[in-house]
Amino acid sequence: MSIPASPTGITLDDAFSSPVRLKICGYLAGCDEADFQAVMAYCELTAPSLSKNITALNAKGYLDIRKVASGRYTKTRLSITDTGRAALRSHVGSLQMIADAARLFSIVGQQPS
Amino acid sequence: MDEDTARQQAAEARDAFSHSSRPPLALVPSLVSALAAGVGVALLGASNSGWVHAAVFVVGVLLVLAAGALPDILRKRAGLYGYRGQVQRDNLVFLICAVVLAVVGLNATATLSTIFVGIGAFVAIFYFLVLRRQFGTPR
Repeated sequence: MSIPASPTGITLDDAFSSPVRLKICGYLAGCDEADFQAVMAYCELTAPSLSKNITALNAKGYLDIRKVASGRYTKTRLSITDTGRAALRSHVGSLQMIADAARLFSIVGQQPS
Repeated sequence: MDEDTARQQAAEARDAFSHSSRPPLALVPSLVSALAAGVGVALLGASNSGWVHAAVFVVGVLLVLAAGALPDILRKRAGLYGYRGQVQRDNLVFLICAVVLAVVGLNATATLSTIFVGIGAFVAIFYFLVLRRQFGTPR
């Protein structure tokens, strides 16, 4: 069954159209800050790929990117902004509504209009 | 969007959140932390007198603090800083329980000491399960 993106006012954020970006923001939502390397390892991405995704999320105002001195090196730390957190919550809520609506319609036995 | 895709993406986002809120701890650090917590609680009620009692009590408190600090240290080494979501670091009920245990432990009799050993065993098992994400994983 396929459900339109906005059957009952459900809106999906374009920034999270890529599952990878959703995963990155979901991961960052569980902590105040995370090292670039930690996010890269969890999301199983290469450094250029993660850079590209966080740059896009940063441009949207969903992510903060901070450079921190760590010994002789500089570490990149990522954090989700309040705007990003709210957008993520709304997006995941919408995804859940789509899934729940589909289950409900399958029980009732009719397609959403 | 397809319902299965929606469900899968929502689940992935929640898993990612859960993973960074409380990353799974390896077996050995989990065992060490759980043992430190259990032994620490048992030592709070160790029935001794005078300076020995005071020293054992202090060691108990230090062990409990170490049991709490070890997962944090390992989490930081894994590149995660601070807590968000449903993981409460300032749990008032937990604090009250800890203070009550400590105060009761200060005046423990032989019977109470045995009870404290039992409480220590319970704490060790419970904490081990929490650290291994078998219990209380945030959603």
